[in-house]
Amino acid sequence: MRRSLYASTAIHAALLLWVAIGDAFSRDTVTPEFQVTGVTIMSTAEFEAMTAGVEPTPVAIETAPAPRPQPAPEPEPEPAPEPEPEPEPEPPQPQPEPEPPTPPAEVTDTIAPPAPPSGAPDLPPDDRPTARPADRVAPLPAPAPEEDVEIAPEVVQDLTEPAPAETVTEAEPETAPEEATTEIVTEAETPSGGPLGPAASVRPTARPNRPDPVETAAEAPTPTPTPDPAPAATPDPTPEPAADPLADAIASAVAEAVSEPAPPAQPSGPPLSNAARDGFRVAVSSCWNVGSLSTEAQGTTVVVGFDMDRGGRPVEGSLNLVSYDGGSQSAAQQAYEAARRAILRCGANGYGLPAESYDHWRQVELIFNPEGMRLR
Amino acid sequence: MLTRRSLLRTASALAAGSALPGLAFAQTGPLRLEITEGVIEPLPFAIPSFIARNGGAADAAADITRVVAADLRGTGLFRQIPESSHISTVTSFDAPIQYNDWRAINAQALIIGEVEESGGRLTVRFRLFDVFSGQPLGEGLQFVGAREGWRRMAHNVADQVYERITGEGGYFDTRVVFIHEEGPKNARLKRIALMDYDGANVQFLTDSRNLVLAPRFSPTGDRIIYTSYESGQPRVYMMDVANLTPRPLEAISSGNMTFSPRFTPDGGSVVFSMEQGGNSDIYRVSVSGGSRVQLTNAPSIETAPSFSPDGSQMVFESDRSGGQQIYVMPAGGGEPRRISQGTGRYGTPVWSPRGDYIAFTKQEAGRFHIGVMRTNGSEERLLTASFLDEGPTWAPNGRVLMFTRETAGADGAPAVYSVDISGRNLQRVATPGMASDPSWSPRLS
Repeated sequence: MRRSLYASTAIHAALLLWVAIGDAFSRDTVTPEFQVTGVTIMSTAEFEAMTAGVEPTPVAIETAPAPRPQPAPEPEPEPAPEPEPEPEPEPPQPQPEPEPPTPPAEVTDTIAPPAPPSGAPDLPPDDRPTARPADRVAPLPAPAPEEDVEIAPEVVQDLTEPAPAETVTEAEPETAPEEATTEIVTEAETPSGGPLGPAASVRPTARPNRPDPVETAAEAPTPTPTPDPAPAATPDPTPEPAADPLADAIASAVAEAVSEPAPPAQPSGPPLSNAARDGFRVAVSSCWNVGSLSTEAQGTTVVVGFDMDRGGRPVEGSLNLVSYDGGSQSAAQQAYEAARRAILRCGANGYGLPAESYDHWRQVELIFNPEGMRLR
Repeated sequence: MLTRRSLLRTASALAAGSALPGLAFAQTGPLRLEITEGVIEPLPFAIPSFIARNGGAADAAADITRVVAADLRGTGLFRQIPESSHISTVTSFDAPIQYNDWRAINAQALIIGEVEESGGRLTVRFRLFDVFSGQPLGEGLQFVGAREGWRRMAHNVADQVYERITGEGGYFDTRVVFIHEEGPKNARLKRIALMDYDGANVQFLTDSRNLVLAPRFSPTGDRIIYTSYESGQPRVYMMDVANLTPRPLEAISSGNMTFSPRFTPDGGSVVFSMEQGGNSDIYRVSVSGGSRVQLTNAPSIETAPSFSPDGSQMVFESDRSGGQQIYVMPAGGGEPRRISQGTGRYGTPVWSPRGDYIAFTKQEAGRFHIGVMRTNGSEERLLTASFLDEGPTWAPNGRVLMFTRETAGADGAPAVYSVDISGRNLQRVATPGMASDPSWSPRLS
C-alpha cells in the first residue's frame, strides 16, 4: 500500500514539477519585459502594508513560491526572518494610524492607475480615502519601491503587458518629490516661508530672563520679575512662560538652537570668484616687500587679519597679527609690519573687490608665506 | 506624556536643525588667502633735513642727515626719496606728521630729527614713522656727544632705523681694519689702516717699513692682531688701538714662522698657524701668556682658523685630502670633519657672528668666488666671481661681507668690496688708495 502511495505521490510530484518547469521555460522570454511593470505592483503592495499592514511581500511570493512551499518545510525558518523585520514596521503603522494615513493617501492617488492589476482586489482604496492623515508619510514610501522592483519579475508574468506599466514607472519619480515638497511645506507652518534660521529668533531673548529672577529670588524675596511664581503686575512682558514646564523645555531647546547661529550672519551675495581672489592676492603681493626684512623674518610666516570697508579699503585700526610661524617674536613683528605696509599701501585706493560680495570679504586673513622667497 | 515627548523631540530636532546652519557658517569665516610671492626692492624712505635748534648746529644737522641717509642707502635695502619731492616741510620736531603728504610720495618710512649744540657738544634727536600705518616705529631717541663725534652719532641714528625696520642689528657704527697698499705691483708698500665702515676717518696704524698682513680685530674691538715681517720672517703681533703700540706675542715667539692669527670669541686666546719643518699646524695660546696648545697634527698645511661664536668649534682650511678644503673640529681638539664638498679649492673660512653660516673663498676654473655655506657644508652659495676675490669678513650683524677684490694685469690693484649674503648690493668701499685684507670690528656702541 505504502509503495503504491509513495509511487503515486512521486508521480504526482514529478508531474507537478514538470508542469511548473514547463511553464517557466515557456515564459522565459516574457519575464524580462515585465520587470518594469513589477515596480507598479510593488507600489500597490505598499498600500497593503500601509493599510492592512500584513503582507506586502506576499504579492511577490504568490506566484513563484506557490510550487515550492510543499517541498519546503525546511524553508520555514527562512520565511520566519522575513516577516520578522516586516512586522516591526507594521505595528508602528497601525498605532500611529493618524500619521501614516496622510502621506499614503497622496501617494496612492498618484500610483493608483498602475496598481489595478494586483493591488486593486487586495486593497480597498475606497476605505483608504482617509485624506485627513496626509501629514508626514511621504518620506517612508520612497524606500519601499526599490525592494519591490527586485521581487517583481516573476509576479509580473500574470499581469501580461498592460500599457499602463510604463506610465506608472514614470509617475513614481515625479510623485515622490512632489509629496516630499508638499509635506515639507506643511512643517513650515509656524514660520513663514522665508529663510530657516531666523524663524524662532524671538524666543531666545525671553529665555535669558528666567535665570536672573531665580537667582535673585534665592537671595532676596522681593524679585518681582519672576514670571512663573509671581503673576504680579510686572510679569506682563512674559505671559507665555507662565507655568508650563513643557513650554519651558521647548523654549530652552529653541533658545539653544537660536543662540548659536546668532553671531555669524550668513554671508549674502555671490561668493568671491577665483578671478577676484587672484586679483586681490596679486594686488597685495605687488606691495609686499621682503627685501628689507632680516633673514629670520624672511623665514617667518605671519597671518594678518583685518576688516575692509565697502570700498574695498582695509580699515587701518583693524589690522592685527593673528599668528606666526617659523621665527622669533621679534622676527614675526618685523614680518607683520612689512605685511601691514603691503596691505595698507596697495589698499589705499581700494582693492576693487565686487561690492555685491562684500559679506564674503568684509573680514580677511592673509597668510604671508615668504618660504619661496627667502635665501635657500 | 506622549505628546509632551513628541513636542520635546520636535523641539530638539528643531534645535539640531537650526544648529547645522551655524556650523556650516562657522566654516566660512573671514576670507583667507595665502600670499607667497612678494617683491624684493629697496624700501623708500624720506629724511627731511634735520632741524637745527640753534645756529651752531646747522652744519652738523646737515652733515648728520647726509650720513644717516647714506648709511641706509648703502645697505641696498632702502631708497631715499629726494627732498625735492617732499610735500610736507618739517619745521618742528614735535609737529604732527602729515601722513597723507608722505603717502602721496610713497614714502614708507619717515625719519625726522633735530640737532642742538651747546658748549661744544651736540644733542641729536630723531623719530621714525611707519607712514602707511600712521604711527611711530619705536620711541624717539637722542644721542649726546662731542661735536667731533657727529659721524658716530649719525651712524647710531642709522643703526636704530635699520634695526627697527629690518629686525637685525645695524653695522654702521663700526670700523674696519685693513691693509693699505701703495706702489707698483712688484714693490708694494703695505700699512695697517683703520677706517669707519664707510671708508671715512682713515687712520694708519703702522708705517710702510715692514710688510704686514692679515690684521684682525679682537672681539671687543680694542686690540688688533696681525702678521708682520719686522723680524725678517712672518710673526704674530698685537696692538692696542688706543696707543698703537705693536708688540709681538711672546707666548708665540719661537723662531718659527707664525701667521694667520685670530682671536677666540672671548678674546682671551689667539689661534694661529705655525710652520715647523715644512709642516703647518694650528695652535692656541692665551693672550696673557702660557704654553702653546697644538690643535691639529697632520702632515699637511692647516691654517686660517676661525671659531664659532660660542667657541665650541673651529673651522679651518687644510690640504690633507690633497686639495685645499674646509674642515670643522671641536675647539679643544678632535677629529676634523670636512664640510666643503664641491669642486675647486676652498680657503679662508670665517664663521658668521650669528653662527649660521661660514663664509669662504673658492677657487675654481681660474676664477675666485666669495661664498657662504651652512656650518655643515650644505646650502653652498657663491656670492661673487672675479679674477681674484678672497678673504671675507663678516659685519657684526652677520648679513654683510667685506672682502678683497683684485683686478687682473700688470696694473691690477686690490680694493675692498662689500656684498649682502643674498649676493645683492655688491659695492666698492671707499678707501684712500688700494686696500686689501679687511677685518670688521664689532659694533662700537
